[in-house]
Amino acid sequence: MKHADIIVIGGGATGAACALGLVREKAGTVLMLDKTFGIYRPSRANFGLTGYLLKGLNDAVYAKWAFKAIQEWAEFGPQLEQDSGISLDFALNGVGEPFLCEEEKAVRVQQTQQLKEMAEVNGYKYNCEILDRYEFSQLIPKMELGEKVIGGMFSSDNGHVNPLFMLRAMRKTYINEGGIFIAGESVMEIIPGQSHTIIKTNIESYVCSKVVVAAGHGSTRLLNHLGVKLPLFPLRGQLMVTNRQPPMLPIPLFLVRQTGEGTFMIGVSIEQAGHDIGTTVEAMNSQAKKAIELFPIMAEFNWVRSWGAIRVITQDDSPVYDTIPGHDNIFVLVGHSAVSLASLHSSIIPKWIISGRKPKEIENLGLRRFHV
Amino acid sequence: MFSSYETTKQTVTIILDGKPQRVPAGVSVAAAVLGTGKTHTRTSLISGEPRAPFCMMGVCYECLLEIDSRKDQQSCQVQVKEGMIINRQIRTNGEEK
Amino acid sequence: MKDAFGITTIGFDVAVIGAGPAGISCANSLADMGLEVVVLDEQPNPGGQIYKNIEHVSSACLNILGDDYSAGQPLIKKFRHRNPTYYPGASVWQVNSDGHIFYSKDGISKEEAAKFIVVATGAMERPVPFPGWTLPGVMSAGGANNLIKNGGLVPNGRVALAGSGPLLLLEAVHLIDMGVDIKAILETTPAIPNISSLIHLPQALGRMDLLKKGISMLQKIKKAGIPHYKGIRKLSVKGNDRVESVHALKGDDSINVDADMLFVHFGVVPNTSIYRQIGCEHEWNDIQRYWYPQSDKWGRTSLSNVFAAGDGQFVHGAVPAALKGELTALAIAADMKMIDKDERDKQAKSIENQLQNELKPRSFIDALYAPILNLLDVPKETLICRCECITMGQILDVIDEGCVDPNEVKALLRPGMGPCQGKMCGSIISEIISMRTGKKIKEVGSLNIRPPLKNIPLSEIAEIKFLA
Ligand SMILES: Cc1cc2nc3c(=O)[nH]c(=O)nc-3n(C[C@H](O)[C@H](O)[C@H](O)COP(=O)(O)OP(=O)(O)OC[C@H]3O[C@@H](n4cnc5c(N)ncnc54)[C@H](O)[C@@H]3O)c2cc1C
Ligand code: FES
Repeated sequence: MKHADIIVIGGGATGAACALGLVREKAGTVLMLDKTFGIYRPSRANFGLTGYLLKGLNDAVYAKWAFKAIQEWAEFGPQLEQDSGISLDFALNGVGEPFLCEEEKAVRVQQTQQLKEMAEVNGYKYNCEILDRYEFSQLIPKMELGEKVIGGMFSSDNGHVNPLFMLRAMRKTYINEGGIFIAGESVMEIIPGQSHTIIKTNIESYVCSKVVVAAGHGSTRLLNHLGVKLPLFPLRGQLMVTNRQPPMLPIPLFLVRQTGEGTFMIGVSIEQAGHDIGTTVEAMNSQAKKAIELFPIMAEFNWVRSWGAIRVITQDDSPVYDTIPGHDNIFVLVGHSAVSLASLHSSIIPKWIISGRKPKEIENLGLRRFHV
Repeated sequence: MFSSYETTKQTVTIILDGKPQRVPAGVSVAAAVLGTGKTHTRTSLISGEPRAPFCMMGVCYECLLEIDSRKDQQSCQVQVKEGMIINRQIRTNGEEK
Repeated sequence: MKDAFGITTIGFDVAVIGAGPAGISCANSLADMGLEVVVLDEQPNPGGQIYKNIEHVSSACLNILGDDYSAGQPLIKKFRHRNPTYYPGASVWQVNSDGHIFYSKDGISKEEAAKFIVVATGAMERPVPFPGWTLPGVMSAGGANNLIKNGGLVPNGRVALAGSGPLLLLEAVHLIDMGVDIKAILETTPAIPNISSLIHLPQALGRMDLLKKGISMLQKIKKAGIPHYKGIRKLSVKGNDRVESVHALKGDDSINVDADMLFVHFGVVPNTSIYRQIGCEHEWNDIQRYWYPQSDKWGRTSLSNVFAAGDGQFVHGAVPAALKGELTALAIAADMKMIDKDERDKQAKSIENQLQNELKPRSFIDALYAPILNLLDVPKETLICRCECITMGQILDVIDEGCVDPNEVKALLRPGMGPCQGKMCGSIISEIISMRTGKKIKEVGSLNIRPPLKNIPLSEIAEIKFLA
């Protein structure tokens, strides 16, 4: 049986960030296991925003955590680029959302107000401006706005990254700094013991002192065996991508963004479709319509690819960080927005895993909140 | 690089890169452009290298051309029509040259 | 609309995608048996790859292209006479397993529906990378052949041919007949046939006529005095902005040919895009090294209302493709209760006999021309993904970082994300992973295929015409 100090199950955005943090903190032998499951792959299928905009509407703790993550990205991003030698196409140059009608605007105005007040109570500043059509158009001088756009919101310190390059950079740095990555093995079972835990995959068995379960939706089954019910449910997002265009959209918007390569990404639908990662022509139709409504020039762009992905999301949107009852050496990290949170998943979270002392700021982001 | 095997009876006139050209009727745009003696139909957006139709059956997308103001058309799958305006896509880094 | 069993109740009985020999013969038979058929194909005329443009080609070209080509005439004539609903110039970009089809024609996207779907989208030439394969002047041999059929165009410079398989030699013969200046033929196939192919020789001898055809091709090449090398390795092309010379190794000797054009052909593989996108199960052929949809003798795939016919089902060639189309038609007609099972089996008998006769030399040819890929010989700077300009070296790096799934390589590096959506590089990436890691291709798997199967403007999807 092979031995490791810590085994991270899941090599997606959450697992890779945490594993990277663990080797940086010199946590001993770290092993990361990943089986590329056909459907459980949101780390390879997301929009790539690094933002706190609108996060934590239900939960002030999460709102502050997300805010902090983006502050940390300012250092985490460039450091990762330097360590990996991979350009991440990362910038904290703002994220916006256009409004197509007064109702949309009213909802956002109210939510922004709420988040600003929450931030003030918690001692930080939630940065978001509500702009009129002219002001909003100034953000995007090279693209003409559609007639219906009445304005928008904009936060200048949110940002974006190429999430796929980020994933590769985290894994590569992890390996360079001594981490072991085993791809293509699927974890079948976690067998807890007094001082050691056994991890059985379809091929091997491993023994370790600590386990981190960061396997997205795959975590549910693994923890079920241990009597833990994870409060995760699937929420599908469909995205479409166009051919490359000359640079014209300098900041990402919630509905469309231009990537570093020049392609436009359009998304993201939010649907309850179980674990089906298919795409529907209906969703493509409505997303294309919306994109053209925003920017009429997009009518001429070619649609080249689309995909669906299943968000790893909890009932209240906030992530889960905890150890499982009776086993304080089995850690669980699951939740949405693992791109935005990567900076903290590779700093504060690994420190907690090593020391066993859960930081105050995430005290409430545990499993217990779902059982009251 | 290519020429007609025999003189064609029916022709149509296309505007290729701004110049009128007589080409055989009924052929694909890619074939018509190659028949005018052009060696490449586009440059790679990424590397800037010249590229030319490769498969001629709709698989490789090397034959992308601007046809009647629509960019990135798969020219081996489109038939020439009288008066068609065709531009080769000579671009670098996403900018028109 | 769907009935209580989830079966589509509007639209056609059968939608046939692809108007090559398989699709056309299938549509002809279905129409004969009284079924409502719609045929969709992205080309402007029926005929598929082999009988491309057969209704319009000049008699001079018809002569050059020979009997195998003109054999398509009666099939197309019957199709025109039968006149089923036919959408030429229609690119299918999504097929749902419930029988709904989305396609683009003349700049408009529409939805169509049918109870049964026959995917007869044929095969494509196997993409094989080598240094310089993206230079203008390098073209697939099939592409050069299309230029004859569709444009009446012949190369007017110095030509070299490289690769393997009967179609490479056939193209050489056409070019000789048209008076083209061929400087060399470079075959990767060894001079002495491999043992595994010889096992199949006795069966192949049952079709001496076909074997003789092959021999006469070789004689013609010899008579023309063209240098013909066998068992070459390390093919490459050099040139500034276009082909200037072609290079290879034979044993330790280097071959250098000054040429303006290189036509390459490395065999053909089923075009599985639609099968994959709908969700059909696939199997792997270890001799010819390609994936093909799992199906029974009627062509019924793992989805009971979706059929595979022709070379897309398995590469057998044009005549067998048409026969397979007929078998598929019989199965659908029986499912639709137009004929009973006994009638189906009775009619199938003679088709199956013909098919068997046609397929006699197949195993021999497949083994003789088994692809020799040697991808690990390909230098690091060589492009693998032509669209996104991703090199061999970059792909090897991510494999070494732990990417053992082609979809993961695609995600992290972008090969397969350009306009062709991995149709060119997808199979190569799987082969590279397999060679680098020692894993079998079956474990490595293949790229996921998602809609749209063809690039379409956003305006089209925004204004798509759904069925009422
Ligand atoms: C449409 C969409 C848009 C999004 N946009 C954003 C955004 O803009 N910004 C942002 O911050 N977040 C965004 N997200 C969320 C982000 O993608 C997810 O938060 C993140 O991918 C979750 O990472 P994960 O590692 O927890 O899960 P996953 O990415 O699912 O990774 C889990 C990994 O574990 C492996 N695994 C599972 N089970 C096992 C097992 N038994 N054995 C071994 N390995 C196993 C899986 O194969 C997978 O590789 C978006 C998500 C979606 C769906
Ligand atoms: S030449 Fe390959 S798609 Fe047109």
